[in-house]
Amino acid sequence: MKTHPYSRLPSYAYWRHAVANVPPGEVDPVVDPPFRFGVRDRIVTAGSCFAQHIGRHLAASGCNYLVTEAAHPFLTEGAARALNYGVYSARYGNVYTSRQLLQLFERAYGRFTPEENYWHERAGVVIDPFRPQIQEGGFNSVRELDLDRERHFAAVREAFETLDVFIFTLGLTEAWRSRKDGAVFPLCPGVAGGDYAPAEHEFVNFAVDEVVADMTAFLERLRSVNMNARVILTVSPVPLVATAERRHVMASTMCSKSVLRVACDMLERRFEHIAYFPSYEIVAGGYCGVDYFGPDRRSVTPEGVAHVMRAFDRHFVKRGLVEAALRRAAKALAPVTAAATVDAVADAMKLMCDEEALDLAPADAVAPEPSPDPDSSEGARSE
Amino acid sequence: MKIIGLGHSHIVAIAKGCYELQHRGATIGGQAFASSFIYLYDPNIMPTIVEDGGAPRLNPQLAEILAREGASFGLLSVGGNEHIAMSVVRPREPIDFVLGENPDLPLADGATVVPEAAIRETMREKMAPTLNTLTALRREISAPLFCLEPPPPLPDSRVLAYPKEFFRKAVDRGKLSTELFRYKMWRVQNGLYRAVCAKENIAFVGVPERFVTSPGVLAEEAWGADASHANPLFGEAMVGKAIELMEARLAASET
Repeated sequence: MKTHPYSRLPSYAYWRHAVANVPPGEVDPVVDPPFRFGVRDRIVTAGSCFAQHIGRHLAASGCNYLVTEAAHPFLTEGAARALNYGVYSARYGNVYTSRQLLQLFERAYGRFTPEENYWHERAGVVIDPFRPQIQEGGFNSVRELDLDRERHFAAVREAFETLDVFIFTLGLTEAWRSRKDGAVFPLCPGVAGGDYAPAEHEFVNFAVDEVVADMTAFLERLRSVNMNARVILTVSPVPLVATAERRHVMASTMCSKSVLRVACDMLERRFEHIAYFPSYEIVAGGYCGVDYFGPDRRSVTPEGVAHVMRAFDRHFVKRGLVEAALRRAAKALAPVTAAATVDAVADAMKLMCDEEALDLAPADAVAPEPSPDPDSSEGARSE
Repeated sequence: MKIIGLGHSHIVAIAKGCYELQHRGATIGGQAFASSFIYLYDPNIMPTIVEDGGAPRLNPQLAEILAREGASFGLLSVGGNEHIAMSVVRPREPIDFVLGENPDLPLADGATVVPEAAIRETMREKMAPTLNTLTALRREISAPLFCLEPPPPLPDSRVLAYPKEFFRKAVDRGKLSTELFRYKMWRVQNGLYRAVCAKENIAFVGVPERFVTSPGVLAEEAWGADASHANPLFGEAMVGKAIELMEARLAASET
């Protein structure tokens, strides 16, 4: 029998073994990642909206999901959620493009300050052009935004400098940028703040070489502040909401995702500390035998997310009894709530308020019982 | 003409102020008036909000009382101490924020500065029962309603004089927040009142400026008998303002 390069390949190399004969929902396209991370490794996530699933899963599964811009303990969980604390490691919101990621780094380290740095809406509302939806209603003043940015950038720096693993989900190639200084916006001006002006803003659709260049620049900068950082790249399977190209949104989606996928491949081959994780392939590849898109054909179903995260856990999270025990312990630790002091004061005040009421009743208060003639009752006295 | 007043602890000063006005022969549009006040922590009408097939509504017994009273207008002093409950104790990690209505106010040295929206959303949760009560009252009462702004926080000296109200025991100054922080919290709270009032067609009656002294605490002339309440003089002024607003409405309806 003749031998050739395909005669002794592992089963994952054959479609029949690795895809066609695998039960729906069990296809696992990850083979041999260059590293795994343990329960003590600090993980930071960023990227397009699909990245939120990854961060949420890691936090819930007992991994060391690093949050450097945590909500102040004074805030309730609901308030923290409303202001997007903890959605990502820092409050940067969705980072859709490679240029946006590079720009975040440059801004956090004070190397780039965009000219269009504030969007003044109506009185008392200032929007951060680079986090336009980070909190509903924007910021109440330039001063508030500046102070929040200062804290935010410190948190971003801390995240980059202390992380062990950075997981970045590349989402888009299309973006809008300032004609003045090239600053890219996560959303087109005018959509969630600001005013779109053709003389000031231009559309850009990053090509493979630009994505690779941006990511390379980012990876070098990350290395410059954190020699041990390892990076996992993945491509979001979520299609574009809309395209600014003069073509069908489906064609633009395929083009964008293809560019990003190729860029990831080039980066993975170039850098040893980079791993690629195939979220896109699992959900949007169409090969797993399960439809992982919801009725809007954009939202990824919980089953799709679960499939992705199963594969991620299997290949990127260290195994072993100690690791498993530590993760279980981390999961069991309830989040510390800081409302206790406030609630204790409120309880004490309620007691005091009741005492205050004693001062009103019975002479002055209207009894809740019916009285025969309200106009002449004790409660309705002193006409 | 008849006034119905409803509320929690601050309604006491309001009621006493109203009685004083009546005692002195005050009128509304030239007419004498009657008043009655309902304390919402009265066990007979608790809880104020009940679930009715999943929808919150006013306690039926309270609704019955309100229908029977048939007041010409209502004075609401619902809740109002949430701001002080939240702010009087200095958090272990100091906190401050920029007040949008006055963004140049100083910030505490070394404090973590959070967005006002974070404070507001936190307070909105703490105030949910109060704000829901305002909404439920509006749905039950067709007469004009006036929501009276709670008094501003009292100064440190009063809090330290009556520490048990907050701390259950004596307290050192180190645990006490700053007067300015408490003032900001009061303003945030009032913003939430205003928003609900605007939505529910309830007139909001602000505290007269003379009762707010630097850096934003209740003026001594209006101090109540403890560390968080105002006195009948304050109540009288608030009722007086509400009456003025009501008279303006009456005058407008006649022209």
